[in-house]
Amino acid sequence: VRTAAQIAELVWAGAVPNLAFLSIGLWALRALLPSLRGAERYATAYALGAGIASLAVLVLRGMDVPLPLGALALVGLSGVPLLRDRKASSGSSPAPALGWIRAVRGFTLAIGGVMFVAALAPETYWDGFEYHLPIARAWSEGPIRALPAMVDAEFRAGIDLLYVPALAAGQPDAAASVSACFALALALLVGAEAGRRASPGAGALTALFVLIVPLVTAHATSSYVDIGVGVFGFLALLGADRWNRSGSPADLTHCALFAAFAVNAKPHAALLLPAVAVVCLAGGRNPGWRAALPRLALYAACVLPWFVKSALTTGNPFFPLWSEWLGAGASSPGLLELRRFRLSTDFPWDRNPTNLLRYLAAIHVGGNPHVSGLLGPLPLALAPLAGFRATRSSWVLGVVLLALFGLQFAYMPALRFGIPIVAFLALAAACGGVRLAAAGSAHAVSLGALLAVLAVHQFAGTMTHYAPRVAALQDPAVYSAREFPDQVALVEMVRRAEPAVGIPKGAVLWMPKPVYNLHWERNGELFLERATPAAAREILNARGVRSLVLDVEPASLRAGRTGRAPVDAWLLAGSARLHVDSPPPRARGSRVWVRVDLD
Amino acid sequence: VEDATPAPEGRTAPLSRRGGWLALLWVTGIVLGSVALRELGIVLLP
Repeated sequence: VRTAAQIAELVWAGAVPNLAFLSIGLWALRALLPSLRGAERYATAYALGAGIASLAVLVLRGMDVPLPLGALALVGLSGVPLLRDRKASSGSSPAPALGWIRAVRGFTLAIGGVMFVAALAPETYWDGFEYHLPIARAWSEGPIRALPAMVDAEFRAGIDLLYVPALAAGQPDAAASVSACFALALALLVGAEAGRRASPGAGALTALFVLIVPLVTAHATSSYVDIGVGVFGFLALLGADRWNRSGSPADLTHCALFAAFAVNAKPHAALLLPAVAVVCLAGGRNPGWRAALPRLALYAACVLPWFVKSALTTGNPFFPLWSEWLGAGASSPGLLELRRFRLSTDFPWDRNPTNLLRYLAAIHVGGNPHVSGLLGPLPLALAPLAGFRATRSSWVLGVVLLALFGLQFAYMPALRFGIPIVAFLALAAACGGVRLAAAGSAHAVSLGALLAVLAVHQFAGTMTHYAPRVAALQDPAVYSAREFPDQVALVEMVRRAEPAVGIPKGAVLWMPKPVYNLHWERNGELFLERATPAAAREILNARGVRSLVLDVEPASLRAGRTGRAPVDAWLLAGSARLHVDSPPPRARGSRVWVRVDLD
Repeated sequence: VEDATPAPEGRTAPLSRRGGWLALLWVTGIVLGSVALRELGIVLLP
């Protein structure tokens, strides 16, 4: 159980890095986009600061420079003079918002506050405790380097780097506060744009619904990086669209920076570069080489450090691309093909028009086949009403978004990968809502009542998710044990095993000894179920693995088997020994944990 | 200044009276239907 002082330390470790990112962003924004106002200014500054800070962490941790919270607090303090927008207070102020709009904005910010606190509970999402946080921990304990059998460390990890200060401070639970801040930024940014395109009231409501939609609720308190990538992607596409509408070179700069930050955080965001190029070239205001080249150079400069990092740790600056020719470090050259196949199984149906409709229905009102929260009903209900009298720029943007959505459906159907697209869907829904409300007072009142019902429903869902996490601040162990009793049992098994311990995918972050993740998607070099006994043993020996803790079906166990062919072959050959506790600890479902010692 | 140039999509092309009622019916069905499905625990596409 944490004391009040320990909770304060946790909150400090969550708040300080984010305030430092905001501060860096406010300084950068003053030079790059001084025209932004209000909540949008803070949200853009946060995203900009996070992107810049990520590159700084890459360089500093690459040279093993420590990142103490005290130093970050000073960076945060340096932004205090910029917190107040002097230009806004000295210029003509906009008309004050209506009371209900102010109330919705206040409510949205209050939910953001609860979300921040909920993000300070222990990570219980698979990718989070399996690799996002272990990678950040490894890079907080030593310089940025290749991490053996942890292939995710070889991909772009721009947002993971933002977790390093919290982990360096010994506070892994504080890391996901970055996701909460990105989620609030996303809500404020989409809300501000909806306010411009539709109405101030629609903007306030859009921000609220973005924050409580299940897709965002599900990820805002985890160390998944998708909301951050979504913010960067949304801002890159928005910058391109704004360039078409304004012709301001600052918008092109903004577009280039955020497109670069997005690809620094996740490789598939490389698609944003051709996407924004099409929006700019076909949207009605061709920038020409004189305006485009400096922004392309800026983009290249921002993505270059990750190419250098990949070259240093894998020998292939473009890893995982062209691994057959340029090398893949310690991982298998076939990794990309396997991963592509694996991603397609998130929605395990043929890719045809009928199933596209099923997919669209599934992400609105279906189950959850692809590890994401859902979109909620508003995009389906309101976006079709947005009308088709759009500007040329909006048409081009729409076509580009449709193309990106098609690629998502075909190759990476998990909804969380599509947050930049979803954000624009929210804008369309805001425009549709305003059109419906303008049809008559009865329509406006009815729509308001429907939105109130939905807001209550989604708010209840959000709080149901957050309440146990807020309570977990005081007793994180009880929360972890309730969420993942099998992983707590695995921790105990690992505690008694000889390191390094091979484990089937699990909470690597929680393990008390060095572990080797036996899941091929994580280790990048060993597909245990498909490998020959000799090849598997060779890899495990090379990694210093001395024991395994495996989840086994009771029926297999009665026959003295583990269900993994290479391991069973070692048991038969006498080169490994099976240890079963009495009674064996429970793993997931009907499975139980057993230990295998490798001789 | 770029932000003073709002895109006009949401402020043009009002719905007709009949179109407005049809749209309201559509929105009501989708919103209340989805809330009811969630509350009843019904998953249309597992």
